Amino acid sequence: MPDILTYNFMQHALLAAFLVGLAAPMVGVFLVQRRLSLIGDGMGHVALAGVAVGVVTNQAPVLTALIFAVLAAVGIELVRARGRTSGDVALAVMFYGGIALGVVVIGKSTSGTPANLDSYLFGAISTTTHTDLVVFAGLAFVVVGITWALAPRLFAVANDEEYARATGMRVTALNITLAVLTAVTVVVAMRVVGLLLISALMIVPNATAQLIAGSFRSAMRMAVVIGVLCSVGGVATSFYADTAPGGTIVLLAIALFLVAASYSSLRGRIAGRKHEEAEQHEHEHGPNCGHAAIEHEHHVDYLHDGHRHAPHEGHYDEHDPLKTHDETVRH
Amino acid sequence: MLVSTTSHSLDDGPQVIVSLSSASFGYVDRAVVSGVSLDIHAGEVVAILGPNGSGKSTLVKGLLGLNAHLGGQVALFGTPIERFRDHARLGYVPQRHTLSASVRATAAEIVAIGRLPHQGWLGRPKHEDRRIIAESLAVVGLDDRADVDVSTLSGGQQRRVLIARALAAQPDVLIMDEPTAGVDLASQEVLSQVLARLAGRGTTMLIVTHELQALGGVLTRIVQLNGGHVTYDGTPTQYAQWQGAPTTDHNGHHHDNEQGPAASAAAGPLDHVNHPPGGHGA
Repeated sequence: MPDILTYNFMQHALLAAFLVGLAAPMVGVFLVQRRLSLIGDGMGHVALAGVAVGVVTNQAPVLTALIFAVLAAVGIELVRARGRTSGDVALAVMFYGGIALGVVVIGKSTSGTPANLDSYLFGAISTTTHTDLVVFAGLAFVVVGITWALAPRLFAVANDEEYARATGMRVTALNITLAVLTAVTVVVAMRVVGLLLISALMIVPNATAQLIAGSFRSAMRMAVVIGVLCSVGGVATSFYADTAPGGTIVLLAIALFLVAASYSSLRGRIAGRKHEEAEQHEHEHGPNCGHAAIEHEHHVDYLHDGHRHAPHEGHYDEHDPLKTHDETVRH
Repeated sequence: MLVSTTSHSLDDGPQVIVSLSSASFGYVDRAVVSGVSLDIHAGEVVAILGPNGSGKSTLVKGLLGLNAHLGGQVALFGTPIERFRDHARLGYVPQRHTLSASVRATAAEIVAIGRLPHQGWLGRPKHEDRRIIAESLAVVGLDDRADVDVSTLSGGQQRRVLIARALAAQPDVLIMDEPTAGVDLASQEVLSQVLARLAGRGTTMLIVTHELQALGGVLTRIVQLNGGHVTYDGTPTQYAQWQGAPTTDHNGHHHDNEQGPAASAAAGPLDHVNHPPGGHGA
């Protein structure tokens, strides 16, 4: 057994990292889709006030943080649903109010100083107790299960809220559900990556997956794999390199993003050099357009006045001049 | 078949799909369209015409429950709109210039959204759903682009993806908001072909537009709105004559025509309700 696994606290830490790495990107993809990438950050701010209240009143900080974050989540969706232009400002007030309240309340604590908040702000995965772990595991399973079950509907609502409403979907209820899932994820992740970095684990793996994947489904799966790799890998790295786990996880995720971004820009440049656009084209090719369709690798070329036109984004590419080998012409 | 065609109920003629009687729609504090009386029957292809701000979109969004119903009677498939729950029977094609590009989504994934009302709680597509999704994409001529990221498609192709999404719900009527607006000429031609194909299959359509030309011979009826009221309701041929008439004439008939559509319930089964200028009832 590698020595990292001989320590009880590291077993806990790796398991917690796995759960967070699984749940965060899964919820995060819908936040990215709704262009709410920073909402997790805001909920983290409010959760901090919950942590402070828990510390001061001798309640479990995880529980009070959960209550605060969930209330914030519902509040955010209600503000958004009212569609006021001032909604943006209302959110800012809520978020900064949360962090300010947290700092003030913790200052009143007899048992500690504002330094108590550090383990929540930046994560303290190695101090995760067995009880914490059980609670996190339970919450993470609930988040993953509900997100998986609702995924097609969350996708539909995030894609086109108006259409979803017209088909009778309960749009507001689904949006509130997503917000609450986000809030729970924030609380589960606060001991692992810290409240200040939680958004990173929800968003960055998705940003990476979006660069590579070809569909929503595959992007979501890829983001979950990247999230698990980064959070488990980050915790393991921090054990050997003696670095802060939360920061290590996020830096790893960002490194992967940069690799993916360079790869996709390189690929784009190579493809750009290879491809030749067809002349100005008023006609749209399709299965019934009257031009012969030729199977070519994984797409269809259309034979147009001796040229082979392949649909590419909004235009047509010129593909190889006519070859006769093993290609089937369909009519 | 994706969209059910005219369903005849014994001798009653084509089913009444939408029935409005002095209906008004708008926002909670303000009516945008009012006093609208219309009956739309299965098999009709109706253009809702009118200048910007005339209330065309408000009218169709009111039918879809997206705008408030403020007064009068509205029935969908014979059910008062307040009690209507079978939303999948209305296939909505919203006016959208681009599909959201915040994340990747293939054309097939977007069209799959249309299947959700027919699926179980988990909303995972079964074999039959996949077949309908593929068929819907084929109807709009995009079966070769099913697995392409929609944000890479042209505006007109994206519009057709939205039509396919509506078709995948197997609705009894398609409600389209400006399907041909803002798309290039080549796409507009393909769009017209798609609409003609749907009309040929007997699909009932309600099309908000201000480009009659793009809809060619597909239409069976034109309803014109102005200032939130119906100012014309009749066949395309009569509409052309009406348009050609001297301006004073057509202004003079605005008020007369507001009464016209109310009489439409008296129309014969397969007659499209015609209200030439000044003529009351069919």
